[in-house]
Amino acid sequence: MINTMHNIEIILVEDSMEDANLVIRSLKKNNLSNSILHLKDGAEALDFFFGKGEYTDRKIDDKPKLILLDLKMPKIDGMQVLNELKADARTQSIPVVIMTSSREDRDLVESYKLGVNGYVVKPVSFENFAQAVADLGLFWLMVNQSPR
Amino acid sequence: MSLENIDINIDHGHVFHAAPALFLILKPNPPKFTILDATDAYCEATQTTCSEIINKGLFDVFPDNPADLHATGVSNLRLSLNNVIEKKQPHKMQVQKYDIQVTTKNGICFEERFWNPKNSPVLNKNNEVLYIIHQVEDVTGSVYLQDEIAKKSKLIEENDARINQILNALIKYTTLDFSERLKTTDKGDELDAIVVGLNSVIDELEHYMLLLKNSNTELAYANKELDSFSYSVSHDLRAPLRAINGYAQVLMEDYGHMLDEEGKQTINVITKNAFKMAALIDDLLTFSRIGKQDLKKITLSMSKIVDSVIREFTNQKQQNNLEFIVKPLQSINGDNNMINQVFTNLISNAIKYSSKKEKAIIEIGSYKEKESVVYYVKDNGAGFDMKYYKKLFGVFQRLHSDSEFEGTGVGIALVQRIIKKHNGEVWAEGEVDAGATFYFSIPIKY
Repeated sequence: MINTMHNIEIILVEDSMEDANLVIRSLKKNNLSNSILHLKDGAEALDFFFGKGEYTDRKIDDKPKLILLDLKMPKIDGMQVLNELKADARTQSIPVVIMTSSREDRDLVESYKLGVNGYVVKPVSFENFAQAVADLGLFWLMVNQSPR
Repeated sequence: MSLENIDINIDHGHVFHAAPALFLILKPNPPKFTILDATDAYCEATQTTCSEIINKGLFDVFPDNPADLHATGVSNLRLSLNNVIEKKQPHKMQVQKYDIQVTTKNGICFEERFWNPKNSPVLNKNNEVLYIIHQVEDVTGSVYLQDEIAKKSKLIEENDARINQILNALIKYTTLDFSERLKTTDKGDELDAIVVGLNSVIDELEHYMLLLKNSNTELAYANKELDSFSYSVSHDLRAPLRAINGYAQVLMEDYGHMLDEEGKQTINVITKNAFKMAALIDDLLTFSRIGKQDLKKITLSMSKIVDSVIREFTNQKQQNNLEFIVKPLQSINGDNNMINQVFTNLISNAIKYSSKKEKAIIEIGSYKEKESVVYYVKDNGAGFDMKYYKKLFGVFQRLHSDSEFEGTGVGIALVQRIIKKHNGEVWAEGEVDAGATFYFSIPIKY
């Protein structure tokens, strides 16, 4: 996996396997699933992005095109991951989109304060959910230009 | 008047005795100072008779009160008399306490008296003192009066100080600082009674303040718990619903071809119920959020709000059998988001419950009543039985089954919660199959 890491375009940080599978399924439908990596919680995400733990060999300069970040996760939550990503010069230019279950005002305000690039409330309806994921993927991978 | 006309045959002795003033004629023979004569008025004032005192030594007849250890009457008078003999000039003494002897049924005793004596010499041609006229006035009454006045003004001063203390304490108590208590004096008067009363009121207040503080702490804790509860609810209850929905959809997409109509219908039921659960969670969260929110009051154009709400509904679904009649609506002070929510809920209810009519007519209007403006949303839909009126406003209480009209039972409860926050009232009228009217009032000023 580490060898192919430079191909990774989307990082999905999500503790729920069910939600992760639905996201991957939606991306797959739009032919966006080849380059996705699923990290199962905030701790693993921080290890990955900053080359620690089992990711010590990873080159931090290999930036994905998009991070889809869940907020409510055990141990290290999404807000903390976002905080560390945006506070570090090496990672702050990577677009981060929060994907969360509910529209809590304080989460919204806090996320934008920390410099999030997007905030999406996961719809309960699968159809809407799939559409939202597809739109996100298409925009950030195909339309948006990020500094390399 | 010339001297010739004066009747020189006056009986001077008689006139002297009858003079309405207190005089003694003394012989300048210290230390005895023999009393040579006295006016009747003098004898009366000292409760003596002329025969008792004439030819007696002044201080033999009028000694100091032996019970008064500080008596200075005798010594002061002696000084004054000696002074008169020496200087041959009148001497006016200060007011003196000089008690007199009186005879009562218990025997002889002294009675307190105050005098303002003046001693004047009577001189002969050779400038020798022949007599001393001792003249006094009984000023006991006015001394007593002055004493009384002094006592009264001292009391007034003391009471003023105490009243000031009470006022200062009251001012302190108004800042809810109950750390100090006033002390009573040994007077046991009205001010003391006020202090005792005040202290017991403050004790009580302090007690209730403490209770209030404790329950506020508990309340804040409960609020915090409720807050984290609703946060969890909004996150954690939705995630499984999304999974239910998503995987039902996956099942349909990937294995739909293997299912018959009943199988597909079953998946629909799963999806539909997951949606319903999501709607319930959303409504419940809105309901609990509104309860905690503070009002952000501005002047609201109710016509604009109603127009935008109606536009939202008519944009959603094209409905030809739906007519809105919007009367001119009075503006009022209120929270924009909350009042928007009120009209959204009432109008969506009206649309829902009149959806089965051939032609649904929804009327929205307002009128002034006393100090409030009343707004109403009237439909010609399914209406309700006034028998179940009370159930209208309960959370999750419904008057229709889901198969008749879908709903979570939160809408009207939320309306009531919002209007209560605006100090207004909500009520309704309805008749089965003849429509319902929901009213809410908002005070013009509050």
